[in-house]
Amino acid sequence: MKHLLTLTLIQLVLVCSAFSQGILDNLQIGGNFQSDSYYYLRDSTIESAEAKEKLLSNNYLFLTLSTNNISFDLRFESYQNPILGYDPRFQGTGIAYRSISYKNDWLGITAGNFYEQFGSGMVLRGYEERNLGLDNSLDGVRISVEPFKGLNFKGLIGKQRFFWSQSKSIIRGLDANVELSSIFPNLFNSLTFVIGGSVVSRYQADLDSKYRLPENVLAFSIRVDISTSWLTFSTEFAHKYNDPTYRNKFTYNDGNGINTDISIFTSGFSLLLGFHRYDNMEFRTDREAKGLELQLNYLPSLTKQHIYSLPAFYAASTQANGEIGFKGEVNYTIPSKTLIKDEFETNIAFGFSRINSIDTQRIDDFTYKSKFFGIGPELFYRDYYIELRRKLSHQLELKLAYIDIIYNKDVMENEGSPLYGKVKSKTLATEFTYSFNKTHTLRIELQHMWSKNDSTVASDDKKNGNWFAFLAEHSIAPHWYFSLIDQWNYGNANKQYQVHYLKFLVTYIHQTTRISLGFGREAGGIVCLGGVCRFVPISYGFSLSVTTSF
Amino acid sequence: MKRILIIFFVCLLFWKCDRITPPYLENPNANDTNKYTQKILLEEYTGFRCGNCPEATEIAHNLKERYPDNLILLSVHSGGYARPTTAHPYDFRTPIGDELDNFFGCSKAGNPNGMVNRVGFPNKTHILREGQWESVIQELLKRKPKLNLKLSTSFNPANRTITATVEIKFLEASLPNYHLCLYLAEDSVVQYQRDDRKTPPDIENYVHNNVLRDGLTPTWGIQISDSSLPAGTTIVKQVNYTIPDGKDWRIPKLKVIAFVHDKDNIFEILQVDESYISP
Repeated sequence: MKHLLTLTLIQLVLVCSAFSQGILDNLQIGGNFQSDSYYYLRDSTIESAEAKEKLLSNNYLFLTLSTNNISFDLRFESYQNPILGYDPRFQGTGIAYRSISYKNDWLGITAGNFYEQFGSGMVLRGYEERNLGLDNSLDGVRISVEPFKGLNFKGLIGKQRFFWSQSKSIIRGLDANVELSSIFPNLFNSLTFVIGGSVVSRYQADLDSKYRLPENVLAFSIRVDISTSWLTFSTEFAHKYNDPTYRNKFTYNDGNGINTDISIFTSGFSLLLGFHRYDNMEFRTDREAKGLELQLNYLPSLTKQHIYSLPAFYAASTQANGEIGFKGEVNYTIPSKTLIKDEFETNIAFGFSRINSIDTQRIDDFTYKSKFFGIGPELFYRDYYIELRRKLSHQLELKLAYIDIIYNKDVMENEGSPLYGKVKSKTLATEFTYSFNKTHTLRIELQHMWSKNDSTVASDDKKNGNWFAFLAEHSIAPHWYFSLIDQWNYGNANKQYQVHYLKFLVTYIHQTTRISLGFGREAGGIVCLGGVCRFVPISYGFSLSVTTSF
Repeated sequence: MKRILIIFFVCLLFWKCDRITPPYLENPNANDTNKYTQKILLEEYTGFRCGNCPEATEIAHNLKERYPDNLILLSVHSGGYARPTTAHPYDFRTPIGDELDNFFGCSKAGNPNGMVNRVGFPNKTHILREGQWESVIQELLKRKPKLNLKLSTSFNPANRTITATVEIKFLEASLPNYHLCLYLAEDSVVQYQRDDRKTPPDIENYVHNNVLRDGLTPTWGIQISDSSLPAGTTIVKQVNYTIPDGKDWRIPKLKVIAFVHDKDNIFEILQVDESYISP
C-alpha cells in the first residue's frame, strides 16, 4: 500500500512537472513602466500652483504574463502624491488592475479588470488615458464568442473603477458584430460591410429622497461600417432611456446621439465629412458623478485637434448634454513640378467645423422638447484652417498654417455660466525643419495668435489677448533631443500676466527607454484628447518623465 | 447561426429598463418641503479706513438683490484698515473676526476681498476679489445642498438673552467634523468710512450693514454629532446668548447668522441661514 502511494505521488509530480514544463516553455513576460514627477517651485509672477510636498509623482508599472491560452495582467500604480491637475483622490499605492484571461479560436473569457469598447463607444467605452488622469476600467467578467469568422458576440458584467474603489452601480452589456462581407464574400466582392448593435444597462439603487429615479437605465446602439478602396462610411445611432442625473439637472428625457463619418480618397486627394448630434447622451456609472468621474460611454469628437500649442488652448470638449455639429476637411497633394519646377510635392489641407447648441424647448421642470435637426442659437465652437507642407530642398521642410477659432469658453470651461465669454482667435504658425545631416536636425516653430474675449463679467482670466510662441528643437539621432519653448502672453489685458512661459526640455532615448527632463513654466489650461478634457494648473519647476517597455 | 441569434434576442428580452412616468418627485404634494435651497454666505473682509472697500460693499449688495433667496452677507472688519485712529476711535473689530482673518489671511491679501462659502480653502483660492464673487456664487447654486438649516430666534428683553434654535436636516450622510456656527451681526451702523471715489474721501455718516458683532458659539462652532448621521436625519440645536453689558448694539437691527461648515477638513460652508432676533 505504502509503495503504491509513493508510486502515485511520483507519477503525480512527474505529470505536474511535465505540465508546468509546457507552461513554462511558452511563458512570455512583457510590460511597461512610466514615471512622471514634478518638483514645484514658487513663482509669484505667474501665481504658479504650489504643492506642500514640493515633489509629486505618478508611477505606473504594467506586467503581462502569458502562456498557451492564458494570460495574466497586472498594473501597479503609485501616486505619491498625484501631480497637480490630477484628481487628488488618486493618492495612494496599489494594484489598480488585475485580470486573468483565457482565449482560444472561438471563445475568450476575462475575469477581473478589463477595458472594452462597443462600436465607437457611444454606449460603452472603458478605457485608460493617463494624460487625462482617466481610468474607466471595469471589474467583473467578460465573455466573447466567435462561432465562425465574421460573427462576434461579447457579454460583460462589472463595476467601474472609481479611483481606489468602485462605482455604486453594476453594468451589464451585450454586443454583436456581424461582418456580412466575411460571411457572404460573394455578395460583397471587395466591399467590407459590417453591422453591429449593443445594449448596456446600469443598475443603481434609488436612495434619493427627492426624485423618483429609474434604477435600471438602458441604452442601446446600432451601427454600420462600409469601406471600399476609395470610400469609408461609418455611422452609429445610440439611444438611452430616461436617466436623470446631477449633470443633466435631473431631466427625465431620453437621450440619443448620432455620429457619422464619411471619407473619400484617391491618390493625392481626400475628403472627410462628419456630422454628429448628441442630446442628453452623457452616460455615467453614478448619477451624482461629475468632471471626469465614472464616464461609461465616449462620444466621438468632431473637431480637429490642432497640433500647434497656441490654438490648442482652445480645443473643443464634447458637450454630451447637447450639441450638434459638422465638419469637413480636404487634403490635396500637388504633384511635383507643377507649381515650382523641382522634385517636391506640396500638401494642402483645408478644413472647417462648427458646433452649436441643440434646439430645445422646456416643457416643465423635468422634460423638454428637442427638434432632431434643429440647430440651437448658441455657438459652442467654430474653426477653419489652412495648412500647407512642402519641402524646399532635401534638407529643409516648411509648414505653414492659419487657424481661425471661435471658442465659447463659458460652455467649455464654466458649465455655460457667463464669465469668460467667447474667445475669437486667429493663429498664424510656421515650422521649419532643417536636416544638417543624418544625425543633426533642427526644428523651429513660430506662432502668433490674435485673440479677444467678449466677456461682459469682470473675471480674473489669466490667459487672454495676444500670444507669441517660439519653439526650437535640436535632435541628435537617435538619442538626444533638446528643446526650448516660449509662450508669451504679451497682449494680456492684465499687465501682471503679460509673461513668458519659458521651458527647456532634454530628452534621451535609448531603445525602448525614454527619459525626459524639463525645467520652466507651464502655461496650464485645459488639455483635451478626443473631446475629453482636464484642467492643468499654471506651474513652475522641474519635470522628470521616464518610460520604458520590456 | 439562427440559434445564436435567437439566444441573443432572448437575452435582450430579459434586459431590464425602468421607465419613470410623472410624477417625477417622490412626494410632489408635500408643501415644497422637498425643495431645499442652497444658501451661500459671502463674508466680506473690510475696514472703515479702506478707501476701496465701499465699492466692493456695493457689489455685495447688488449681488444680494440679484440672489435675494440665496445670498447672505456678513462684513468682517479686521486688519490694518479696521484699526481705530484718534480721529475715528470707533472699533468695529471683534475677537472672532480677528481669529477668522488670521486663519484665512484675508486682510493680509489686501482689502477688500471676500470668501464665498469659504470655497477654495485650503487650496489658497478662497480669497476672492469682488469681481470673482458672482461666478463662484453661480457655481455653488448649481450644487444640490448637502443639508438644510432652519433658524428661528427669540429675544428676552428682561435678561437680554437671545435664543437661537436651528433645525438641521441632512440630505446626505453627515461627517463628524460638521460644526454649527452662530454669529451675531448688526445692520445700519452709522459711522465713519473712507471712500476713495469721493472728494474728499471722508464719509462721516456712512451706513455699515451686516457688521459682525460676536459669536453665539465659539469661532469654529459646536460639533453637531460625534458620529456620521445618515441622510434624512434631523437634529435640533439650541443656543442661548446674553448680550454683554456696555454694548451699543440696537436690538431691532441685530440678526443671527447660522451656518454649518466642514471643520478641519476644507472648512467649506455647506448651508447657511439668517434671522433677525426680534420680529
